[in-house]
Amino acid sequence: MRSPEQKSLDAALQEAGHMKKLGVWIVLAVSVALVVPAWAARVGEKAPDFTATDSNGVQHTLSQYAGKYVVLEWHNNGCPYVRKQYNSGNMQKLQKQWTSRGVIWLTVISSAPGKQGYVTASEENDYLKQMNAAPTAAILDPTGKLGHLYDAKTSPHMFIIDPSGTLIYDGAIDDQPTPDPASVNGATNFVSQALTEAMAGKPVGVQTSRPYGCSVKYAN
Amino acid sequence: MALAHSSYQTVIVPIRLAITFIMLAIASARGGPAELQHLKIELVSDTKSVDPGRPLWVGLHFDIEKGWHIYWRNPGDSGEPPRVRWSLPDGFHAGEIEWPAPARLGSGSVIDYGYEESVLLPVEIETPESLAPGRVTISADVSWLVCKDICVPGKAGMTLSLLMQPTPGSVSESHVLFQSAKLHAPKPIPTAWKVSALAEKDSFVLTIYGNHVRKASFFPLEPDQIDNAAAQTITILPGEVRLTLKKADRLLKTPTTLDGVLELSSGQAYNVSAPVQLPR
Repeated sequence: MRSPEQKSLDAALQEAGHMKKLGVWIVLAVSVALVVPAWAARVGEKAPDFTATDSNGVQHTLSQYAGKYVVLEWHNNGCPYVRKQYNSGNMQKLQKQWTSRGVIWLTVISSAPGKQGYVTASEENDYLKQMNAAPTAAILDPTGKLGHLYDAKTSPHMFIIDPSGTLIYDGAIDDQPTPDPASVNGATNFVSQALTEAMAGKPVGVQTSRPYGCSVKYAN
Repeated sequence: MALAHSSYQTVIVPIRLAITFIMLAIASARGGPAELQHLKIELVSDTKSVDPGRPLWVGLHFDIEKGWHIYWRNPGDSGEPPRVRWSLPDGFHAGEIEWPAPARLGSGSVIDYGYEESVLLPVEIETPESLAPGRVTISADVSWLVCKDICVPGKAGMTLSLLMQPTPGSVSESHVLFQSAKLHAPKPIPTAWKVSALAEKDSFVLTIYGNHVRKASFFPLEPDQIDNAAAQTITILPGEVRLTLKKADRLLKTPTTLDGVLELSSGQAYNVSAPVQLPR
């Protein structure tokens, strides 16, 4: 099985056979550039680096957390699917459970101003206190830059990056795609499952799932 | 805002729940459409009576507020399809919802599949060969998500009481909805056409041989096979039409078939199951 890119690369190399070494390298470089896809977050690949600001004005980059597991949680406090997790206390429990084991947990809000879930820094800090939430930080992303970089579709939508910077999970929080609060009990939580497996040195069983919930309220 | 959020949760939600229960009670008592947040829903039947041993067609008729939508069986990037739990007399068996072809909804990087305005979700119910005289009660507990800029979950319990009558029943006032739904339901693909899908590195090329269309849209049954937000590009060649569908980033394993609904420029939709071929 060879992709058309590989075939053209081979053909290019054959044609370049009579060229000087330098010429071959130029052809190679051009071909490789064609093969590399647009930068995207894909499981098994290096997660895109970012710089983002939290509700206390502190900047966070993905690269500063090299060597640690990082969880990204897309959030919108008005979405029924997010409320299911927060009103039941489940999301806060996960945040406490995993940050206590050294995981960096970033809650990300990509709602544009005027849209559901948009908050100012102080509103978000009040919310975190009120809900007894315990992420490492809450990232404010009103321009949707971070959301689009990871192509976050829903709230919640969860991503896990391993200590080597590789994306190891992209998908739903659990296997219960409903806003019914009763569904939290007995759900298989894909985030906990993936972190448990990865930390035990095992392959992650469920690496992707359809993220479910409300659409992320990006600026149009 | 955070305070408002909290009071919303503690005050509005119980009120909303109370309203929902009142609506449920009303809906059950009179059997008419239940008016809930942003839509009306009614359990309807194609015929006025049940003819033992013959299929009974019932349906969930959603009348949706302008600008709002509900979802198809694969809702796309966000949302959730309506779900129904039936309570039926002994010997009755409900089939699956026969989903009409959806519309592509939303903009930008989040694209959903669903319905706006009005839709009938028909269900075929198998009936027993013999039935005691009297009335038959069909009950449905339905839950759904209705969205515009925001999403509101809803649920309703509805009942339908039909007379048992061992003659072909006369049509109900909802018959026209069923006729229209049957007319527009996705059909089996004509045998003269052949479909296949070639798995390329970043996309599937769905090829339909033997037809002549100018426009086509593919709606996948399975989530996370194709990128819902990506444009579907059509290439028209003599005797075949190719639709290039970008693969979903979350697709890790090439599926053996690409299943979905193909809607053509005629407005007619077809169920397709295209075997996926790997590049040679």
